[in-house]
Amino acid sequence: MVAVQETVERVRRIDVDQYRYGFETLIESEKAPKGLSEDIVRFISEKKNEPAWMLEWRLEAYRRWLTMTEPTWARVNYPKIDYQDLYYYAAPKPKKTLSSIDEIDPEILKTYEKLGIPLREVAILEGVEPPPGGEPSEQRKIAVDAIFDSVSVATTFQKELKKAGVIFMPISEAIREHPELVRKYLGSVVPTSDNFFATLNSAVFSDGSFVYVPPGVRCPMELSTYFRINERNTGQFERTLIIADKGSYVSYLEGCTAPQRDENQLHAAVVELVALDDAEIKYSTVQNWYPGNSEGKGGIYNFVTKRGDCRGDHSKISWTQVETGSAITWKYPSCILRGDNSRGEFYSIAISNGYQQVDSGTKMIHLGKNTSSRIISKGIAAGKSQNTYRGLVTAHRKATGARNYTACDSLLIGDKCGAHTVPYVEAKNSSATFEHEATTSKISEDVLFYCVQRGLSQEEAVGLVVNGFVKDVLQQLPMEFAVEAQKLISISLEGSVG
Amino acid sequence: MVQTIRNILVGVQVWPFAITGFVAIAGAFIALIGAFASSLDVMEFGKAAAGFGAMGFFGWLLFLIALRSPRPEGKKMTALLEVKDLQVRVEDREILHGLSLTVNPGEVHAIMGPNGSGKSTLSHVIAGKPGYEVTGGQILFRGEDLLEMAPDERAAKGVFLAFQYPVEIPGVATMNFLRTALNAQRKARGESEYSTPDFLKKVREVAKSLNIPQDMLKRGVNVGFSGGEKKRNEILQMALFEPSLCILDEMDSGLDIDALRIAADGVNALRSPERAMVVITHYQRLLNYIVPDYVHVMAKGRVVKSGDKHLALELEAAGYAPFEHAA
Ligand SMILES: Nc1ncnc2c1ncn2[C@@H]1O[C@H](COP(=O)(O)OP(=O)(O)OP(=O)(O)O)[C@@H](O)[C@H]1O
Ligand SMILES: [Mg+2]
Repeated sequence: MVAVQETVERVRRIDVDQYRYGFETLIESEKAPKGLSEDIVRFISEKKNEPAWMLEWRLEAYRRWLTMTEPTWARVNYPKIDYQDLYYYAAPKPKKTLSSIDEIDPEILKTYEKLGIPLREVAILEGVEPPPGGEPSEQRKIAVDAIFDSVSVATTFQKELKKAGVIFMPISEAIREHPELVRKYLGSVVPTSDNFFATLNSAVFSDGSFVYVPPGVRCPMELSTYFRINERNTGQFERTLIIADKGSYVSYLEGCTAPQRDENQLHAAVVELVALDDAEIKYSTVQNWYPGNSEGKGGIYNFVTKRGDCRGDHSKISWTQVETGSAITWKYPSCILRGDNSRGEFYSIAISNGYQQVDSGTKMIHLGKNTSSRIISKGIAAGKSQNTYRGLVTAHRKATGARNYTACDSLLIGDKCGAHTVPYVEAKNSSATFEHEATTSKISEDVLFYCVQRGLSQEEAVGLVVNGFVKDVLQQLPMEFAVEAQKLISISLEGSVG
Repeated sequence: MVQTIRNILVGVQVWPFAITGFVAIAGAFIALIGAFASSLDVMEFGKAAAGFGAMGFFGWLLFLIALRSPRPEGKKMTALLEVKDLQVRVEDREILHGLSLTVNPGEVHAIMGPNGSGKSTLSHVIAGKPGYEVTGGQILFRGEDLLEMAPDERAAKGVFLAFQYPVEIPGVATMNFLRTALNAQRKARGESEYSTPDFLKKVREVAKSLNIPQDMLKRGVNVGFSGGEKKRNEILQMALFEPSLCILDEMDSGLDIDALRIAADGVNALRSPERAMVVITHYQRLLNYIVPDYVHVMAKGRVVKSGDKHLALELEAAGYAPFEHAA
């Protein structure tokens, strides 16, 4: 009782007020006028030098969006968003045309340095020195696409990726340079009419990453995108499209942060993944948008649509997410298991503290024969937060032999928070085997005391127990990021720096 | 206070010997020169100096001997643990009603008593478990107020409790836990952290002596451990952390005969003049292995009788009934 009380107090005080990425970059930017209209959609399209078909696509989405209403079924509460009171486009004003990374505004370079994101092409892991005179070892390289407000400011390692035939570039560039690929796949997984936020995104998305891995190619390095919201009152609507052609493999990671501000900011992204025959995509997210302060003021509204299509036979898509930020998270990375013998995976750690609200989970739609899916979700609620797992597993009539295993565990720290599990299961054929396990537990006072008796501080004990709780999922992250994520988890719950 | 003075004296004991010894020898030498030179003055001076030096030398020697010699029943020594008239409540019910216990360095105390008499409660309060309200009395550890310290602070100062029911911590490898805890304690004491090879070497040694297989250390803390394995894991931690006060709450429950002997050997190996043990048990058998200096009988939240190891045998024969009336 007393121990937990104390921990909860401490956690409440430190966590949210201790957001380390809350600084703002002072830089001149170019914005579209406030509000949303057909003219704004045209403005964005023009800024990006888009072909006519792209503008048409956007306008269609915009018209559609006007007829839709915001969904209310999620277990989240927030004041009504005034969509006319937002900026839909903001870009750092370039000082001149850039030809190399050294010409990027030094303020932006500094920002990414502070965030620990390597925009220069160097090996990223601390303590791993490339052999004298030699290249850094292949596994250590990570190509980064950095997105600052609405535009991509740098994509690294492009040359090396090109050698392997991998296309990794801002989507705005891909629309111009690879229209055949973009036209074929954009909106093929998340249609423009999919849902309120996805449709809005289709109309106004400004940038994002595009990846194409050609047949039989194993992408030689981790790809990653780093999203940063800097401008005030600006929505961020990025769009990511990843295509793994037959027999290819790619591992992709996204990270996100935003300055600390009193007003809420909207983030409505769409991510589409397509895996053809025998291809595999591994998509990892470490989401650390500003969560708001300890009184629940400010923070990012994170309304994201992420979906992967296992279009080919024997294809595989795996989502791993570590969600620690945002005032509100509304996010269900899903898999459509269309190809026979395809496989979908979802590994999630969702941590909520302060007044954060998380409604997250996944959908596994089994369409092909002998498809399998696996869901491991770990929710941790502290402070006055609400943490909901919402999952859907369906097997259609033709999806014979479909298998799913779901395990949802929730851990509560204190007694002012809540954890909820909402699983929907639907099998339209009798050969499907779905297993579901769910547990909810309170962080045990006895366990904490045991640790403290052995010399750990109260905060260290909480960090240790929580890291043990999420270990199965943490192991799914690429090694370099697992370390980072572990630190992030400790910070978001204890405030021990480093 | 007395302790500090004693430490200072003992710390510099070589110097008085060196100085007085030198004066004595130099005096004798001067006296000899005086004798050879037939100078009465020099000889007298030398004799006086030699006598003075020798007196100082032997005086200091006697003082040290007096200081080190055993004193009657440790009265002047600062106790390691002093529990004075302790009253403890849990959820508005008084569990300990004025319990007193003094434990000096080097001693082994056994506490026996019926179920529910408050043995675990006492150990929890000493270790600082939340949820207990101390309504009276005090607990001193080396003369310092223990109740003022946070539980992790007490651990770093050398209070160790081997739990009656060790908990499981899923997902946290035992090895990792041991290392995190040991380094946390060392850091709190201002000592440097163990290097990985040093730490591994130490753990392996201790684990081997307790018959704990290496792969057990890779598993989550106590996860899936048998009852006996959990208890052995407690002794392992005790050996690793080298605490000065070890409280063992029913370490014998759940151990088979061989495991009991191994664990008891592990405990005995840790007995030292600086370290004290409080052994809580229901069975006299454990005390055949870990022979106590004192045995206390607890009933209804008090110590109702204290004696030497023979008291445990009496209990074994007569049960607690006679003592419960006393309480
Ligand atoms: N948290 C609690 N809430 C209510 N009563 C408690 C609590 N903890 C202990 N008690 C009560 O205090 C009394 C002493 O318990 P304690 O565990 O100290 O006994 P013990 O001597 O260790 O017994 P055993 O030999 O069975 O281990 C018991 O009556 C127990 O029910
Ligand atoms: Mg007990």
